[in-house]
Amino acid sequence: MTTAQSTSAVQRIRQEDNKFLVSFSMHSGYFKVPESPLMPEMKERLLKAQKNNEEITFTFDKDLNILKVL
Amino acid sequence: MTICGMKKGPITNSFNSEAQGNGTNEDALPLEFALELFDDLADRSDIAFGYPNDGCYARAHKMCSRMMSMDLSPKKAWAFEGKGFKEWLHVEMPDGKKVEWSFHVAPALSVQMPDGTVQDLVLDPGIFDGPVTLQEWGEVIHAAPENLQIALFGLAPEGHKGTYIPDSPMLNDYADTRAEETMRTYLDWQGIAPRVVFPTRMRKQFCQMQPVLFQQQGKTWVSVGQQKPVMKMQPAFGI
Repeated sequence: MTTAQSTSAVQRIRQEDNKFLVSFSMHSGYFKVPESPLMPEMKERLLKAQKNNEEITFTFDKDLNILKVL
Repeated sequence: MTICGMKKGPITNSFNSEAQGNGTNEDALPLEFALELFDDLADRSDIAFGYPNDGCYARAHKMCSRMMSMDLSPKKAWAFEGKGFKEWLHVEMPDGKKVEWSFHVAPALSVQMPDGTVQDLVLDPGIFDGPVTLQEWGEVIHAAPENLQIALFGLAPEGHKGTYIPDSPMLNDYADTRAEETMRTYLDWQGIAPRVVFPTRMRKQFCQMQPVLFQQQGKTWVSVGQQKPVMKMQPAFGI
C-alpha cells in the first residue's frame, strides 16, 4: 500500500456516527482518522492544530485515511 | 489552435448582444468546440480523473493550463461547503463510491449556445461526460447556489485568497509544480478500469446529431448506461 505525505492547516473537523473527519487547507477531500490504537492521540493533535491554527504534517492512503500525524 | 479540425476563435457571426446568458461574448466558443475540447481533456493521461477523493484543484489547474496553451480564456468554477451541519459537498459517483469535499473546483469556459445565448459551462470530466451549466454542476455535488461562483483563471474566487487552492495563495509556477506532484501520486491511486461518469444533455444531443464524431465513451471513461454488460461464464458442458 502506497502512502503520501502532506503538510497543511486543519480547517474543519466533523465528528459524527463514530467517525472523525477532517478537511485541510491544502486539500479538497475530507480525510478520516480510522479506528486504531493511534486514534486518540491523532484526534487530540488534530484538534490542537485546529485550535492553534497550526500546520500539521501527516501521511495518508488512497482512501484518505490519516495513518500517522508526524 | 485546432482540435479535430475545428478552429478556435471569437464568435463573429450573428451573435445577439441582448441574448440572455451569464458569460461574455468576446471569448465565447461554439458548443461543438467545447465538447471537442472536453474530449481532448477527458482522456489526458497526465490527469487523474479516476481519483475523485481529492485533487480537483490540481486537475483544474492542469486543464486550465492546457486551455491557456491553446490561447483560450479559461475560468474556474468554485463550489464551497456550507457552514452548517451536513452542508459539505458530496457526490455518490455512478460506481456507488461516495466522496465528500470541503470545496470543489473545475474549469469553465464561455460557450455560445445553439439559441445564441452565451453561458459559462463547467468542464469536469471526472464526474460528467460533457460540459454542464454551473447550476447542473452544483446540483450533482450538492452545493447551495449561494456557494457557487465562477472566477477568471488566475484570480481568486470572491472571499478567498488563492487561485490554486482557495485559502493558500501561491505563485503560478509553484502551482504547476504542486499540480504535477499531486497528479503523480493520484495517477498511481486511480484504477485502471474506465471511470463511469454521469451523462449530460449536451453529449447526448451531439451524439444524436454527429454519431461519428461524438460517442458516449472515450478511451478512459464511459457514460452511465453505456457500460458493456459483464459476460457470465457458462460451463461448456452441463455438470
